[in-house]
Amino acid sequence: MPDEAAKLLLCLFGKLSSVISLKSDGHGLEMGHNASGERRARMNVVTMTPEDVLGPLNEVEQKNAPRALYLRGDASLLHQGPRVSVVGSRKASAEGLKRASFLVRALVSQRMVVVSGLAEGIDTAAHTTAIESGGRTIAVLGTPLDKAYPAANRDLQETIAAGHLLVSQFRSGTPVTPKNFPFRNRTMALLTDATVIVEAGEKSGTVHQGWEALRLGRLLFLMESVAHDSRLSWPKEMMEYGAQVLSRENLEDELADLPALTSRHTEAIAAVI
Amino acid sequence: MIDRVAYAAGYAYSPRGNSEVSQRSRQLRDLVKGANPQTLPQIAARVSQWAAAREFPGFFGPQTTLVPVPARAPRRDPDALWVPERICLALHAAGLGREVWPALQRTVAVPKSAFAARGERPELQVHMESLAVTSHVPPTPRILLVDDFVTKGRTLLAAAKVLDAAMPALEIRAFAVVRTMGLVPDVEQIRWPVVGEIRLEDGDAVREP
Repeated sequence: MPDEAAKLLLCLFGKLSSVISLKSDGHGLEMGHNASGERRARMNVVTMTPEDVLGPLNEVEQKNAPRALYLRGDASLLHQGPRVSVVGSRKASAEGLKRASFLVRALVSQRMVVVSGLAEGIDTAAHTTAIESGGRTIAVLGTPLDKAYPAANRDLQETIAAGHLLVSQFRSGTPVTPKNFPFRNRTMALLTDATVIVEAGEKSGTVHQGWEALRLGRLLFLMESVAHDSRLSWPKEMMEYGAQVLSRENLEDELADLPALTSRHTEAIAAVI
Repeated sequence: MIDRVAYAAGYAYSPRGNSEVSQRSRQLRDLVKGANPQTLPQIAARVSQWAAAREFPGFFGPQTTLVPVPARAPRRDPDALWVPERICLALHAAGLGREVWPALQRTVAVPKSAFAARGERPELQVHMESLAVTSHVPPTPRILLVDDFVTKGRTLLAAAKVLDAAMPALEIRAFAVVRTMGLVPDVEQIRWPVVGEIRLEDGDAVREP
């Protein structure tokens, strides 16, 4: 990112904690100059708090909010209308991938920002469809920004950093462990107005995000196919606690009425209160 | 059993209007639905001013107990967001009401009325059957049911009827921060305190104004 752009970001977000310059060797990032002279891409990682992004958090939001968020890319995406998480299985079915793409195209047509976790399967379909449809997308990583995980998505990760936004709650150097991904899922729920689970198995980590969305009072939608999958127990339980079924028939109405629950138009609204 | 409840609301919002005021009213909706920790105290302060100016006679006072209305689905986690509870706490912090008394809970989810197709909206009876009284020891006999939004008034009327059935001596009123103006294309103003009535008519709730 050009220095001028980084300065603009600093002006836009007055409470930024720091801006760290990182360099890439194509196999992960490291601080500062690497004398080997290999191909590198200069980039800036912006550190913010959840409050910088969302404004003051209510007590429910505070409970599982990360201390910091590391951002790489266009941070203005966090202030461009409703954000919807599209998440699901890494080993998705062909039908699941089609459903994800159909949903994402609908979200893009409504100028909504598509958020996902850069995993294989549904996440990858969500990001790539958003980009190919001319929409905007945010990847919330379960690793530090300087790790590409899965490695197969390294190019997609760079594409998102270049034209969209990468977000991670894990500072550079944090080990990549499975326990980080449920934390990432909770953060994704925090950062988005709604979550849609497209397809997920009984033990899928995606379920963590669904429960967190409900706990936060965010909207949680289950695609019709997963909602009515009799092999799964969690969809029925989630619907008992407020998850809604999303189908091709009700998709348009649901999106039209989607409230921007993470909206922070507080100053503009204070005048009318 | 009661078939009507006095209600008050502070603001109006348009679900679909395109005017600038209508769009702004939806921003207020979003902040209330998100239990914004800046906005709710501001609303409570304004309600306090209105109460002092006798806009809501009999609704707020030192003998009023604030009862948050359950959301449309039960809470799995006790610490999950419950917007009416947050509103009650903000009102209480502003000196409006003696105590917050969470005396009702939702036992089973009801379809989301705002998103349901015409003819599939949850009926009053569905609301009533999904609500349960969790306490029978009211701090005061004067009860104010508090909700974030009122559309037709089914939820508030059902809550009032369920509470009245359990404790007939209670004096029950209802307050919603925002009333939905779904029958007009646009709202002319957002800050719009009103006092009216929700009543049972042909088996369903009717709100006026």
